[in-house]
Amino acid sequence: MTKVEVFEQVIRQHGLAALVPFLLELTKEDIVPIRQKTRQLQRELDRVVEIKPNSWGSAMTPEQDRMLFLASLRTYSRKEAMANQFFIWGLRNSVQHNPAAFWQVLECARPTWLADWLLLRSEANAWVIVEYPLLRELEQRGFIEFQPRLFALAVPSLLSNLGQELSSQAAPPSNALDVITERLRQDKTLLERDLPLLFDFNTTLDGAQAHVQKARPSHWHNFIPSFDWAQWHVQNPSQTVTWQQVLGRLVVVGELDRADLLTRCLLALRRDFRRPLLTWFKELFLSLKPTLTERLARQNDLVELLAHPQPLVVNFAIEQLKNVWLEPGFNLAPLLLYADNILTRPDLKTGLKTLLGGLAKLPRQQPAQAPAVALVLAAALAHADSAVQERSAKGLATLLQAKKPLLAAEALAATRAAIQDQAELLAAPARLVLAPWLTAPAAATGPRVCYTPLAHFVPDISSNTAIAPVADWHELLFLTGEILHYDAPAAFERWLDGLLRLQDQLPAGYAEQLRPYLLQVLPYLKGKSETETQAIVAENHVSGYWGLVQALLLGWAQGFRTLRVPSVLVQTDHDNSDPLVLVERQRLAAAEWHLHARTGLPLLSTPTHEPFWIAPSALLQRLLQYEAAGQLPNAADLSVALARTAYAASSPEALAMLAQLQHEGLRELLGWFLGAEDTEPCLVSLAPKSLVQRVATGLRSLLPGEGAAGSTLAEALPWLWAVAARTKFPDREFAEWATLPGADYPGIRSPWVPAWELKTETTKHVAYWLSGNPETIHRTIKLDFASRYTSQDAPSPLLLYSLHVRFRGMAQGHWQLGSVVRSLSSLVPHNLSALHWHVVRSVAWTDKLESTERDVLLAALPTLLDEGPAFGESTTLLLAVSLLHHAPSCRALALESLLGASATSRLQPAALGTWLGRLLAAEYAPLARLADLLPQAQAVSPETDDALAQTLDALLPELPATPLRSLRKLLEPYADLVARTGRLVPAAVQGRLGEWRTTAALKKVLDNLPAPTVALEAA
Amino acid sequence: MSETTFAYAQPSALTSGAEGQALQLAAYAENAPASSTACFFQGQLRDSWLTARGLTTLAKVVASRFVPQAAALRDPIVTAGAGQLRFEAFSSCNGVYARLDLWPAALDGEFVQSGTTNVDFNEPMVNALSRIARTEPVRLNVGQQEVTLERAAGKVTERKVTLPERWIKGLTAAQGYLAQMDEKLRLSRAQATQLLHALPAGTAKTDLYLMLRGPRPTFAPMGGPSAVLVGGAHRLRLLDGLLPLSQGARVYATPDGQASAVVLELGGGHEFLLALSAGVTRGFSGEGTQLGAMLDELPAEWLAGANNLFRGNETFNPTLFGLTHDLAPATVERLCASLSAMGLLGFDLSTNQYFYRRLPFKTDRILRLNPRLKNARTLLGNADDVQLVSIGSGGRTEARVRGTDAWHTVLVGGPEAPRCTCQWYSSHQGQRGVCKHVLAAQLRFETGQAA
Repeated sequence: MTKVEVFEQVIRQHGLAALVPFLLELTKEDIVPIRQKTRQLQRELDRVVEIKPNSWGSAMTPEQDRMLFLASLRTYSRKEAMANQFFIWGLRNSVQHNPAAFWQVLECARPTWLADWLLLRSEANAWVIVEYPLLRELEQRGFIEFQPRLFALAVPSLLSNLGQELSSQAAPPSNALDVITERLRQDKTLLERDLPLLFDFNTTLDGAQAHVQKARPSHWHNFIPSFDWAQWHVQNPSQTVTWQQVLGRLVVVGELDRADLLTRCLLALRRDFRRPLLTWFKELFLSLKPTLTERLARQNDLVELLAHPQPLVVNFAIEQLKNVWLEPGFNLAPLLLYADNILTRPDLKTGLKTLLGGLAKLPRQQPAQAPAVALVLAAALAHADSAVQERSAKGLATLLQAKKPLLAAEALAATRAAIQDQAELLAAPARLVLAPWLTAPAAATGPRVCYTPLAHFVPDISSNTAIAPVADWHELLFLTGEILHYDAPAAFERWLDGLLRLQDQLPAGYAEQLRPYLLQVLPYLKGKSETETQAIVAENHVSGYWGLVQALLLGWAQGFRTLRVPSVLVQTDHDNSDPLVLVERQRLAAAEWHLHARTGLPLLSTPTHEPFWIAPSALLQRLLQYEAAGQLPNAADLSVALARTAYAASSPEALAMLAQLQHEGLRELLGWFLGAEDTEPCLVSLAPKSLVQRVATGLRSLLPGEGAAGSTLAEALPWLWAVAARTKFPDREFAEWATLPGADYPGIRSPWVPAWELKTETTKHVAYWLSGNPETIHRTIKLDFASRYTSQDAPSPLLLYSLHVRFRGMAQGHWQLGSVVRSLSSLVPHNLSALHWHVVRSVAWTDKLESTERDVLLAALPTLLDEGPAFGESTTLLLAVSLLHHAPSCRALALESLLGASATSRLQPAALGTWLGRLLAAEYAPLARLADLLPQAQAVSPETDDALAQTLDALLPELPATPLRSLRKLLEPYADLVARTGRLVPAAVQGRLGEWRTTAALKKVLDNLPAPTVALEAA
Repeated sequence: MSETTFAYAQPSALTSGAEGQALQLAAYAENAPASSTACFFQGQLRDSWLTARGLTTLAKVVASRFVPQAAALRDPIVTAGAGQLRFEAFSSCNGVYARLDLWPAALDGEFVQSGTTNVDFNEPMVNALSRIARTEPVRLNVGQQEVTLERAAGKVTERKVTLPERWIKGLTAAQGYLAQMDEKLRLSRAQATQLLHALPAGTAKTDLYLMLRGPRPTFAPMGGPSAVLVGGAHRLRLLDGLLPLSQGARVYATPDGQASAVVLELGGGHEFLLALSAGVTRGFSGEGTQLGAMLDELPAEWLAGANNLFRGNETFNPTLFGLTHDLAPATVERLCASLSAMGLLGFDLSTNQYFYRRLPFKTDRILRLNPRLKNARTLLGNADDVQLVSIGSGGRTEARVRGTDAWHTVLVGGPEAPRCTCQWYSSHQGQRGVCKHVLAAQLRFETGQAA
């Protein structure tokens, strides 16, 4: 047998006793083959197997584990040792269970990598660190050299080891702290060399502790009542000993120098350690209760801490310095130097106020420092926090108003100039204090800007926004990759248009070039022959919204021989995505039919201008093309085309083309739609259907994918009128439509505004398993939507603005809605009202819903950023609930929408303020969420400031007379906005403010509301 | 992974002497100087406290990681030359590149010779750096004579670290991005201080845009014309110790938003640059934006000549260099790409110049460190794997390139960007460098046309 075979036999069949002599006798030539075998056996044995039925575990026995570790120790080179799979566990187990064998093998191997390996593993996992006593023994026996970092990482766990040792005694000591301290006192190397390392390295010192308690018998507790946890704790109280206590005790007994420990704490606090570790050093310093003299002696170390990035360290330093800087021996110059760097740090507030308060007093004792102090105080005015600004302003006011002048003329001028520099940034409180030294505010001097919502929206139909069609086959080919990987509705529209336009220009054998994309869609086509691929593609049934795109690709690859799109399953009973998906399927099915029939006609609904507008002339041109080809338009395609057409940008050229249209019904419809007149549309009535027609329609609707496409244009025309009318006049009542059957359905004669109310639901939970049966009451504030029409379908699937009415997706967010909402909103760019109602009732009906709901909102909010008409009610409500959303990402995106909407004049500030006020009053969400957002929106532009002020004007009266929590944070920006915009505070707000004035916490901010300088317009 | 092992003569240390403290940075140069002088700089730091803060932040970058992987501490690179010292480092995940530049105003000493070396950044030295007081005089010595003279002596402390090749790859991509960047924002001192305040708490899970909104720097989820796309913006927190000390900051970004950088003006000749990749999961070493420029194998003597020239000049502006030597911009770009592929060039945003790193001139690194280029050459090894289909107007060439189980259509040449039907191109749309199929087609047809 070779040595490798012997080794394998020993590992598999024998024990440690046989292995150790084998390892000790290995020659240099044996090392590499045994190493390879060791690794092979480790891989083989260290796998999870079924040990017995339904019981899984490692195939390796504990002894084999230790044996393989010793073999590794003997044969591994640095490369294998430093690999990821070689852990400290093996070392600990070997030392614990077979110490003699371990030391024998180690003595023989003497690996040079041992210390580096221990360090690597200790750094990688703070929970698996080699024990400090073992480390010392390795050092004493000469296996490793002293490495400060390695030893520093090991020291903290020493306490835990001692705790375990004391707990395992038959009678653990009642004075564990004294016993542990005494044990540590015996080890001079620890005290003099290794303990000080704790102050130099990032260790787990803060979490290490000794837990001393008599160990509970592990097997009897289920049978002997007195051994249950509660009784055991009473009978055997636990003791916890921390390093802070130990170090304190070592100082008391004279083993550690108190002065040295204080200095080391301050030096450690200079490091960029973890926050909990920094807190630990801070607490150790405080636990030593340094005297004023000791702190004065360490003034330089304390001042150095002011440069630390962590606020807790800076605040600690300021707190320690605040009594010291008035002492005669204190050197003020370094403090002023360091203070200059922290005055505008937004993360420092409390500490800065202390510092500024202290600095303001200094000139009285040290007049020579007055100019420097004044400049420091003036620099602090740039701080974002109004309270810090105010403290600084008060200090400056004291300096500038001193009876005995503290500043010379030059210093006075410099200080006043510095104050004036910061004037723009000053909040109302500081502005009030410094008013005598400030020039008149800019807001009062310039003309007041007033935000007004957009009254009439006209899309930009010009060459600037024109969408370039796909130029050639190559562009079409590579665009395919983009639409398969990105949710890009605009790119998809171009691709679809390119498919239709370039169908006759495709190169021969183009399908072969599509194969890479087929593989991306159907990866299992890899390795399949051409015939197999054809068969798989022909049989493939894709589903979901993205299945529509994939179906078109698969159809394209096979020359559109069959129609695939109508059979794509886009919606099932449990699918709560959106009913517009069905319309989109009809539209794409129409495109596929054109490709199948090779008509060469474009889709009517392809946008011509960004983002999704259709120029009226383009629509008419396409309709004329259809007439020339003798084809009737697809109703779903035409419905979307109407919703996308920029009717307000109609031109004489378009109207001239309209006259050429042969179809009378369409000509009449488009004449009204593109006309400038503000008249009510005359809806044509449907002729009653014969029985045969009705049966045929019913049967046709059962076919997959059939619906609108199956209806004739004449049948669809009244509903196309309804779509056009609701596109042009989203909020208007069409009283004369009463004669049309089905016109009473929401969204046709009247706009669809679902009924809803804010409802509070309470649920009571009783904890029966706890003594006293405590009750917990949960309150849920929800937007409760009630719809009378939930069981009644819309009269036609073409009614883009009515389909959501009976849709079952209410109070049920679904991930598919998030993935399609952006694409679907592109179908109805003029009027997103119904879609937004659907989003609100599905995913924002109450606070703190799940991530699925959040993601839908995150997908829906960008639709508010495009240019378009002023927000409707549902869009404003969507914005309001998003501004109050619990997810910061949602609030941030909502803020962007708000700012974007005020820049494009789409925002309705009064409606938004009202919704926000009602939601907050009902405690739908905490007020702080909104209040924290507002400072980011202030001072962006005069228009935005005015829009925000209008929003708050409408919001504040809606709030209850009893102030909500964090109301002050809302009133502060309001005061600032009023000052900036020069608006008068409306009477309704004045009334509410008067009620709040009785609250002490709000009085100050209400007093700071500046007097208006410009009268508000009567409107 | 190929590695270079460093052997330091002794650990870096901050030592106290009669003349004050001395910061001795133990160095190991892969490209050791031929002369016996192994000292690059010795002298006084004019603002030792500020330098120490910069070095501490650099150490923090080196120790940081933003993807779940074990931290692997690497030692920063220092380049001495042209009267400057530049300390460069990457985060463990390679997605953050940081550089501390010490300009002549920050140094009072002698540049014994130019050179590039690794600097031993051990914990005690970081500890000591944090203890340098504001007005304390400190001498700086980069490299020591003893490094080369006494390596075999008993005092030698060998601390071996590995220099992964991804650092050199990262240096290539980082300088490529930096050279493309434009200044987008300029922040005042107060605005720089508030930069992190505007950052949302926790880890940024989506891309954020940095912009000035009114007087305040803001991070927003949607961008505008002047906004800077910052992927993994929470990585900017590495700057938290330096931002309050900065006199101002400049924010840069590439036109395609694939990388961004913040330059802190610390005053007194100190500048700190932090460049971020497009996302936390994207290390600079994985980017291939310079692959296109490396296609043409420039004659070895050109590379050697340029290397010698840049080695002597130490800094150069690519445009001026091209004009001076009558070289086409594309040729200069290829030269720079080839040299930077060996880690030899860096880019300084403040002066808009390349600077030279004295690393070994190893042309085999160009191929070895760019597997896509290597794979493209493998495709060319089989004559049938890259087939010409047609040459269109403006030199637009269509080719078929063999892929895994499919032939890819590739378009190269002409003024438009190259395209391919492969998964890589479809997923990244050319933003992370071209794929091997495009490279193969370019090598076969474009370089052939050029010849």
